[in-house]
Amino acid sequence: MIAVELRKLVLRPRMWVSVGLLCLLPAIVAVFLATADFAPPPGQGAAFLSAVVSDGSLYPAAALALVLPLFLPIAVAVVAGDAVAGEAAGGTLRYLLARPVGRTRLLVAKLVAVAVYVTAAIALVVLTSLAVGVLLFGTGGQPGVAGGGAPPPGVISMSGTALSSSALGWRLLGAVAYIVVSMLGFAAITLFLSTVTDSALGAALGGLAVLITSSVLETLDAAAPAKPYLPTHYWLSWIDFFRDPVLWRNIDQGLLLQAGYLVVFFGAAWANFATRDITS
Amino acid sequence: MVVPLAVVRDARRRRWTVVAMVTAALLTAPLVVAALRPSGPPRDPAALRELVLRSGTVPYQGYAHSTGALALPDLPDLGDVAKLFATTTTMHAWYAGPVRSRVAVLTVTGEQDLYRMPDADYTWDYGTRTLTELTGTPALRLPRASDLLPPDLARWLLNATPGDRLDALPGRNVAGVAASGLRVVPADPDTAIGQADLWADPATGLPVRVEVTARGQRAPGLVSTFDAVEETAPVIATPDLAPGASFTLTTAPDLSRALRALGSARLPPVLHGRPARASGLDGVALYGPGLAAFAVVRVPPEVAGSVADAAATAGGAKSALTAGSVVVLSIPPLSLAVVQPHEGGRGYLLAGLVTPEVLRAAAGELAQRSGR
Repeated sequence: MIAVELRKLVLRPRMWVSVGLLCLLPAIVAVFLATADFAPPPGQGAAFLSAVVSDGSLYPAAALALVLPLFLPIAVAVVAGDAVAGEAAGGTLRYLLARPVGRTRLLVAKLVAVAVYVTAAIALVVLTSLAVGVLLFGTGGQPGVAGGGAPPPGVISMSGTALSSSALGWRLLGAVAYIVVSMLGFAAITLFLSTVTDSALGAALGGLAVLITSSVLETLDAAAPAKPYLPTHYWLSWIDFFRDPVLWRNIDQGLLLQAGYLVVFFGAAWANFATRDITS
Repeated sequence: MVVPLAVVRDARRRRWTVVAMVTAALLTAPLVVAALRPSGPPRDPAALRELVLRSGTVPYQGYAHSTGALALPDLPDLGDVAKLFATTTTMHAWYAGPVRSRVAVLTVTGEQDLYRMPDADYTWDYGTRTLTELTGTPALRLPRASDLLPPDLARWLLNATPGDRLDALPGRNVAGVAASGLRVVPADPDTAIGQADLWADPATGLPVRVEVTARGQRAPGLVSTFDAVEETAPVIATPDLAPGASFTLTTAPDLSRALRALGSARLPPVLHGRPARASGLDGVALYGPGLAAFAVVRVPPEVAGSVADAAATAGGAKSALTAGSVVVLSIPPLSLAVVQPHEGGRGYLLAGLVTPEVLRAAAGELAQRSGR
C-alpha cells in the first residue's frame, strides 16, 4: 500500500513542480546576493543570509530559513490536502477502498507518502542550495565568483565558535529532521481536513487558514498563554541547532508539540475516515 | 456483507471518544503537572531579602525571558535599550560566579553573547560576526539584557531599596523551583515604582522570577522569569576568535558613546536637592539615591532635538521653561525629559524611575543654568 502511494506520488507532475519551485526560491535569492555582492544588514532578512556571502556551505541553512515560513507549508498543504480529498474528487476513492486493505492502512500510507514527500523536498532544497551556495559564494579558503571581496571565509555558529564540516553536517541533518517533524504535524491537520471534504483545494486552503491563524496569533501579546500550543510556535527552533551548545529546550518542546498534533489530528482523520460513507 | 448502520454509528462514536480522550489528556497534562509541582514555603521577608542579596555566588544555568510593556519611543541611538523594556527578550545564561558568566540573547536570526571573565568582558554579535573585548568597568553604563535576568534584576532592586517595606508573598513554583515570595514597596514618594515582587529559592536565595509594577498600575510593566534553571556550576571558557570573525578592543564607556555625551561643561553638583554621584564620565551624572535616582546626560542640540521629536510623537508633553523648553514623557515607571535651551544651546536628557514632576523640576534648573 505504501509503495503504491509512493509510486503515485513520484508519477505526479505537480509534485515535481512544487519541489522545483521550492528549490528555485533560494537559488533566485543566491543569484541576487551574488550579483549585488553584499549581504542583508545584520538582524535583517532570513537567518544566516548575512553570513552566506563569506561561505556558501552555510547556504542550505539560509535556504531552509527562506522556504520554511511559507513556501514549504504551502507545498505540504497541497500534497496533504490532496491525499484523500483528491481521490474522492477524482472518483477513485471507492475503487481504492474496494481492494482488500483497511482504511486505517490507507490513511497510514497516505501520511507516510506525505512524510516521504516532505523529506525529499527538504533534502532537494538542501542539496541544490548547497550546490548553488558553493558555486556562487565558494567555501572556506576558496572564494567563489562573488566571494573575492568578502571577509575571510569560515562557518561560524551563531554563538561565535568555529564549526567543522562534520559538525555543520550533523547540525544540518538535525535541522532537516526537525523541520520534517514540524511539517508532519501540519500535514496531519491538513490530512484530517482532507478526510472531511471531497475538495482537495478546500482541504489545502483549510490547512493554510490554520497556518495563517497561528502566525497571526504568534504576533499577538494577548495570546501569550496560547502561544506554546500554536502549531507554528516552535517551527523556527531548528535554528537552535546552529548555536553552541545546541539549545535543545525549544527543539524538545517543538518535537513534543508536533507529536501531539500528529496524534490528535491523525486520530481525528482515522475516526472520521474509518467510518465515513464513501460515495465517490 | 452489509454492516448494520447502528454498528457503524457505534464504531464511529467509539473512535471519536478515543480521540477526544487523548486530546483532553494531552491538553490537561501540562496543567496537571504544573498544579502538582510544590510551591515554596513562606519565609520571613527580611531573611529572604538577605539571602537573595548574598546569592551572588550561587552558580546556575538556565533559560529565561523578560517581558517589558513600556511603550518607549524610537529613541535615536538607543533602539536596543528601548527594545529591552518594550518587547520580550529571551536569554540563555550560564553563571559560575560574579566574574565568570555568559549570557546569550537569542533571536530567530542570530545571537548576542556577553562573557564576564576574570581578565576582561567580551561580547559576541553574530549579526556583525564580531568578538569585542571590553576593558575597564564604566561607573555608569546603559542597561543590557543580562541586567534583566531574574538574579541580577532582583539583587539590583533590593540593593536600591534598603529599609523599604517588605511583605511576604505566597510561594509559587517557577521553572521547577519551589520558590518563596517577597514584595518590596518603595517608600520614597519620588520613585514611580509601586512595588517589586520577587520569588527565590528559599535554600540558596537564587531569584527565579521578578515582577516590577509601576505606581498606580495593576499589571507589572516588567516581568523577568526563568523557564528552566539548574543550580549547578557551568563550565565557561574565554571565547576564541573563530576564523572569519572580526575582533575589536574597546575601552570606551558605551553610555557616553551611544548618547554622544558632551563633556565640555560640568553638570551641577546638586539638582532638585539631590547631590550628583560620580559617574566617571564627563557630561553624564546620576542624581539621587536608590530607585528615585535619575540620570542626566548633556548632549548636542541635534541629539536633543531628535529625542524631543521622538518623545513628543510618543505622547510627551512639551512645556516652556524660563530659558528653553522641555518635553516630558511618562511611561510608568520610567520618565524621560529632554531639555532644549534657547538659541540652539546644548541639550540635556534626563531619565529615571521617578515621577515626571521630579524630572520637570530638574529640567527647569538645568535650563535656567544654561540660560545664564
